[in-house]
Amino acid sequence: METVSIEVKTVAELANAPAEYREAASKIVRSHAINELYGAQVFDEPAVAFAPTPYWKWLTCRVAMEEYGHHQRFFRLGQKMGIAPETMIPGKTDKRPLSIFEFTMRSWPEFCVIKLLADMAEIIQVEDLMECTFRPLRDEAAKTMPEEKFHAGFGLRSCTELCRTEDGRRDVQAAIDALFPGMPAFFGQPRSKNNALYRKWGLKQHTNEAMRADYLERARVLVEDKLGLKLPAPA
Amino acid sequence: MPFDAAVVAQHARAIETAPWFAATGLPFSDDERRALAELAPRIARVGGWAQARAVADDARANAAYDADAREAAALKAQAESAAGSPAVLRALSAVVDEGLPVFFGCAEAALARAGLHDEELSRVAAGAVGEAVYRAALAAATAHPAHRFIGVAAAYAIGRWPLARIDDVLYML
Repeated sequence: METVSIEVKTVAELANAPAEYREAASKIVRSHAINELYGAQVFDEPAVAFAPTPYWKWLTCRVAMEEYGHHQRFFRLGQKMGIAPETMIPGKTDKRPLSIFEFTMRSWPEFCVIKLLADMAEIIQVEDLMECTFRPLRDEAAKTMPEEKFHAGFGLRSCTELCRTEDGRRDVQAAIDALFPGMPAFFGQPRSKNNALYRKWGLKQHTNEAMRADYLERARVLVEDKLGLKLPAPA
Repeated sequence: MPFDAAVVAQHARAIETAPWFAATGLPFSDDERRALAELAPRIARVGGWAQARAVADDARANAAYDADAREAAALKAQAESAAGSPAVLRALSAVVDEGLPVFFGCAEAALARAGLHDEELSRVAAGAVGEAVYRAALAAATAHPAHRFIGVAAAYAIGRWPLARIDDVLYML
C-alpha cells in the first residue's frame, strides 16, 4: 500500500493539506462526534434508571456526562475544521451511527457488558488515533483515553460484582451472548477502502482486520480469563 | 409553564465558584443545621467517605431517588412543552459542559484532603452533584423557585454531599 509521509500540526495547517487528507480526517472526526453522542443517548443515559442503587446511578450519570464530553471534544474540533455542525449530530445527518447501537438494552447487566465490551472496542479505535498524523486529532484521542479506560474498567468491575452470584453470572453470560456476536462489525469491513485511505495518510495505523483480531483476543481475556465466562463466536 | 434558558445559564456560570465537597466530613455549623432542616425531617451526618460509599449504595435509598427521577422527568417535559426539546437540551448542556471538569476536580480534591485517592468514588460524587445542579437549573427555569431540587443543590453548593434519603432521614457527608 502506498503511504505518504505527512504531519499536520494544527487545524490551520490542514488547509494546506491535500484534499484527500482533509476529507479523510473529516470523516474520522465526524464519525467520532456522532457515535460518542449516540452512545451516550441510547446506552449511558437510559442505564441510569437500570442501576441498582444511587451509587451506581451517579457513577453511570457521570459516565454518560463523560461520553457526552467526548462528543463535545470531537464536535469542537470538527467545527474548527469547517465541518458543518449538523453533520456531527445523530438524527440531523444522513450518516448512520455504528450498528452496535442498534442493540436494544433492557437491563443493568446488559449495560455493564456494553461498558466491558463496547468500550474496549472504542479503546482500540482511540489507541490507533494516538499515532495519527493529524496532531489535533491525536491530542483529542490522548485526552479521551483515560476516561475510556475508566469506562471499560467500570464494565469489568460491575460485571465482576454481578458474577458473585449465580443469577448474576447467568445474566452477564446472557448479555455477552446477545451483544458480542455483533461487536466485531464495529471495526468495519475487511479490505475497507476508507481504512486504506486512512492508512495511506497515516491517520490510522492498523487495518480493520488487525484491530478486529486485537479486539477478539482482548475480549477473550476479559470474558474467559477474568470473568470465567464463555465468549461466543462472532457473527 | 415557561422555560427560561437565562436562568439555566446563571446556574451554569455559578458552577465554577462554589466550594463543592469542601465541607464533607466536618461537623455541621448552626447555619448549616438550619438550612439542611428544610430538606428532611431528620438529617444524619456521615463522618467519612467510606461510610458515604456504603450509604449511597444502600438499596433502601432507591424509593426517594426514583421519586426525584420521576419529578425531574416531569419538569423536563414541562420545559420541552414550553420551549421545545432542542432549546431545552441546548440550555441544559451548558450545565454539563461547565460541570464536567469542575465537579470531578473538586471531588478528587476533597478525597485527597481525607488522604484518599479513589477515581470511582470521585466520579460517583461528581455524578451526584452534576445531576443535582442540572435538576435545580431545570426547576428554577420552569418557575419553581422553592422546589426541593434547588434546596438539594444548595446543600451541595455549601460543600456538602446529600447522599441518600431513607424513610425520613437524609444522610449527609
